[in-house]
Amino acid sequence: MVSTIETVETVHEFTGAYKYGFVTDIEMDVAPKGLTEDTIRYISAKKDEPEWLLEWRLKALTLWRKMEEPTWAKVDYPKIDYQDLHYYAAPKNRSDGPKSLDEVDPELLATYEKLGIPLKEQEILAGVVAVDAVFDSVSVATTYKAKLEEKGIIFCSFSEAVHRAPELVKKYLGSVVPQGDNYFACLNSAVFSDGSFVYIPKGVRCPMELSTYFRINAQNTGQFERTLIIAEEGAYVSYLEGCTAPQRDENQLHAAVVELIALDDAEIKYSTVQNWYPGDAEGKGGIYNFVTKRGACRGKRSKISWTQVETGSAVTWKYPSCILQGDDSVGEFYSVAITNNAQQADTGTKMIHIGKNTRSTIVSKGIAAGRSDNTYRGLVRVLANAEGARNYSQCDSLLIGDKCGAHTVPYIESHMPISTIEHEATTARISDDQLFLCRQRGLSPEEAVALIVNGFCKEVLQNLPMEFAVEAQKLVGISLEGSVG
Amino acid sequence: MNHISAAPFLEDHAHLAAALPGGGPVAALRAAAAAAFRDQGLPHGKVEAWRYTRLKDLESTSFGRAAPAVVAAAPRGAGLAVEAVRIVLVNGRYAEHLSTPGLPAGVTVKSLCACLEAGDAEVLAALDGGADFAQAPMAALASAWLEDGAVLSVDAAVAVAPIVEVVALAVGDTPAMSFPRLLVRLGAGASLTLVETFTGPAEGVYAVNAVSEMVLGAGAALKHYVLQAEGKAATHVSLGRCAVPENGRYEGFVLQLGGKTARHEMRLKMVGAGGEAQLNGAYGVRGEAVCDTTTVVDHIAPETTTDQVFKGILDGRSKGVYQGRVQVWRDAQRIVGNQLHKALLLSRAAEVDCKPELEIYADDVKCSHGATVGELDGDQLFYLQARGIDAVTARALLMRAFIGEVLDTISDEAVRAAFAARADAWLDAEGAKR
Amino acid sequence: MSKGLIVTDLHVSIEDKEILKGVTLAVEPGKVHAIMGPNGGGKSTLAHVISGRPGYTVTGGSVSFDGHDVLEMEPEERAALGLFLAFQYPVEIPGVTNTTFLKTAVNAQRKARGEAEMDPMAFLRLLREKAKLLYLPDDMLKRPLNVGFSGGEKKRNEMLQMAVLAPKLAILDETDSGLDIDALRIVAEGVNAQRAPDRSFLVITHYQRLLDYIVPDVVHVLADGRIVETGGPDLAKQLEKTGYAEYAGTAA
Repeated sequence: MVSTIETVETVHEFTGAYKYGFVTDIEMDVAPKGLTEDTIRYISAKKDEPEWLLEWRLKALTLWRKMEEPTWAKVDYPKIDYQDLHYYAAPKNRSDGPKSLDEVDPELLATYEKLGIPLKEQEILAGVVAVDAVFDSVSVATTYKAKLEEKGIIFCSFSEAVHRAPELVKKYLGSVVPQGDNYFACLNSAVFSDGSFVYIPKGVRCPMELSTYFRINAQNTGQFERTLIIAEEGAYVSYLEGCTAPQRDENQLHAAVVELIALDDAEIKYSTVQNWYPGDAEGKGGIYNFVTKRGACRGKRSKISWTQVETGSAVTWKYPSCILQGDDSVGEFYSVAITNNAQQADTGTKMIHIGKNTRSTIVSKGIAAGRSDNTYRGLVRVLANAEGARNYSQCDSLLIGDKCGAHTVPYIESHMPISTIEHEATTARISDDQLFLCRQRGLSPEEAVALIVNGFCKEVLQNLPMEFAVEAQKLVGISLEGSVG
Repeated sequence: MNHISAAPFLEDHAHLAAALPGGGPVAALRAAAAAAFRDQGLPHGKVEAWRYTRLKDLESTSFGRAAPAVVAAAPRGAGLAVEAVRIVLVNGRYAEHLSTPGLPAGVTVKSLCACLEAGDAEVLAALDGGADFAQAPMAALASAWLEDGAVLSVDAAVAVAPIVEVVALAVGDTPAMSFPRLLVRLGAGASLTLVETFTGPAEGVYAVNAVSEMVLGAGAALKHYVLQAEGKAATHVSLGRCAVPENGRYEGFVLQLGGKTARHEMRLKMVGAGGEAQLNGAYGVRGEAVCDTTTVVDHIAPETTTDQVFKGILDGRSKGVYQGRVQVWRDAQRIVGNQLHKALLLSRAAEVDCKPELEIYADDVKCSHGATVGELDGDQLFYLQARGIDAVTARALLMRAFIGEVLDTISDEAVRAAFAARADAWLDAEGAKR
Repeated sequence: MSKGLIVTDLHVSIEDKEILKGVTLAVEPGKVHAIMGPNGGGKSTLAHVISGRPGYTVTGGSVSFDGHDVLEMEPEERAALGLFLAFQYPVEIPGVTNTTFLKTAVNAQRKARGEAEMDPMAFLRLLREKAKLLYLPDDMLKRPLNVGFSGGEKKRNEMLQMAVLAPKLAILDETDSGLDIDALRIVAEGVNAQRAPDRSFLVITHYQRLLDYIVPDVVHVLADGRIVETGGPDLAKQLEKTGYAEYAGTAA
């Protein structure tokens, strides 16, 4: 992955503070602004969807209209005018879809190059990562399909899956996050554009990391991707998701839904590096990131592990969760959330213990700098039949500067005596002594903060796949630039 | 369920309140409180601060205001088994004839009713000053019917030697709500050991809605021990407020063993540099009962320290709730704030809900919270049994040790012993059942 | 360009209280100077000001190193010049391993001097070799910086950092405090192994004991913010007998 890293560094040198802040100039196919039944019919027709899916979307719209935007999170943003957004945007002239990378708009490929995912190089770099790149709403190119197909693995865009694996989509869509689950998930259910679909058949260990890069390009478009990952009995998959968005003055809405299903003995590892544009130092612009991610450990001994590094977005509202239904199933949540300047993050997890001897681990590291607010909000619920359930939670906050806020709001609910729940939380700051030591040994204040914060986050970062970990460590430093000195 | 009507609790308020003691300012306070309660209604699960505790009996049964009652003598065991100067409130009203005659030098006790009638501006300011009706619906209801209670004052620099116990006794046989109200004022450098004991008929249905305000002068030290020993069918809601001043000391302990639905909330404001507070507690809950302990600790001034440890034992189909919020305000630097809740679940039907919360806006702080939920340690149990101790005794021993650890933090020896005896009695009832 | 450390009439205050009241001192390359003196005399303040620790106000005088005015420089710039401070109270950084920390420091300094980054394998070899000389087990290199280290381990770890960073001037701020005799010997051997014609040392200590092992060229006594006496190694021995009582008067 050396080449990827070099590309990333080059980009950073070019663009400075927010290294992904470039806009690609491509002709777009855009739905008119506003959200009505017609919008949904337009989206559904564009994607040539079956009738049942259109109905499913319309039902979601009906539900959504009756719902209210939640206000309980510790985030503050101006009211969103949902009628002033485009709900569909796709690059033009693609009605047939590219058959190979050669057919993909070269400018698009250049964009990915800047993002650090040189598709061409990756095709040469034999089978390290398979990438499904989502450019605004439509999946552009999916590599390594052939190799995966040999094993019966389906890895494609969600729209394609609707046609390729309709039974699977119909069976599992909304089975973890129902349409009416919450305001933003419901909105997504009505208007979702595209996303990734992964199916790992029984007993198959996916031979490579699957990766998707999301990127919001067009102005005034909400991105509503929908991802569905199904791991059959004994299957294993590691999925990587990277998110970036160009620099714009207006706020852009992102409301994604991710559903994971793990059957008996299956394991899904889902890693995210979220680096959407956070807005400028004054808090102008940036992404509103309202995401519902949930995994169901349906099978016995199944395991779902979420790892996230959240450094971007103006507002983050995100709680990747695990429903531990199968006996002996395992849920994990490892999170680093960094906020600087005027960013706000309210993020955490829910671990719902239903099956016997279910185990969950939560490790959350929140870093607040500038005037930002950083909240961990989590729920551990042990239901009455979850005999032998165990949870361990560790939530640490680090404050850099005296104008930011760090908050920890854990909810712990237990109905089962034969269970153990442990929760620990601490809040501290980088000490002057630590900073001075690093500087005495030759590090600049920025390097010192990056080193200390990376140490603080180590338990989480080491859960990331190698190529992501390197990127994440750099992001930690970049995100905190200007926070000291 | 977005609103539960306040109307049954404020029936004929305008008319009835007019007959209550005090002049215009008191009437204005009552009216403001009534309006606030009317706006909010009875608290329920959609209100974040009441997420886990529903006042079910208040939702379904009509509770009138408890009438004044004449009691010849306080029932045996109403107060704590300690040598103390006693102040007795019956149905929230000051009962001078039941209270200890003769007070230590520098200590005065007045009925709140008398203070209101006399237009004691200082007292009114203290009641009003602590009022934050929008955040405390039940206290707003109590203030809407503000009538009587006790006002206890300690002169500056006076160290009160004997324990002062305020017994809030509920009597009567119809479902009624009383509003015990206590105002404690400590002059600068004064010190006091205060016990608040809440009790009532063992079986009768009644409700208590208590508010206690503690006002401390600079460098004052208060030990504040609360025993909630209401009857089995009681609904108990109480709110304590204390502002800890510069170099002030507050040591609190809340032992909750009674009630069908009980909630004790303590709010501490650390308003002066060098202030230190310890707020600990324990609860035992069984049957169908719900026991809620809520704390809100505000670090407003720099260089303040707070420490909280709560432990609960739950059995039957009971529910235990601990909500603790530690807030550190902007510029309140060099803060230490710790918080720990441990719950022991003895039954599969019991439920514990815990929400320890940190809200921090300053960077030079050391704050932590911890929470554990589990059953008795199987290894420890086995170890004791392997040494020849039978299972029932071994369990009782471990439970005593569990609660004992936090009871040991009570610095007043007499109160510690008396609280331990109450906790033991509760555990014995437990052991006997098994 | 004058080589080595030159401190001239240095006045330093902390929150308006004058701690150093005109210190003058010159340490030539290859020399070992010891600074002794009673507690509160300003020894650690001198070490901190030379290395650029925040919190001190220089009200007068100058400090130069190899001709550079270091008072105008950031701590990391001084480090890149070759100034090293062994901390009296080594700092813990959770999650950052000893190895990562040192590698980052070495490369930061090399970068500042316009040198290429060190080859990772060569660095590891160097690190292991130096650790061995200080009897530091390999696993300590993988542990987070100073977290859970004993007092002696922390001090030896300071010596390891010194050995790897190879400074031109090492300031040892009471490195002997809290060490038993065996640990003291290891630390002293570590220092002696580093003695070189182009490397000087400023050894700050309250006790003469350390100077039995690290024999200084010059001994200064710092009391009440001034250097009150300067001599050879014998001065340290003499102080061992008489203590600092005779300088107490100047403190008043």
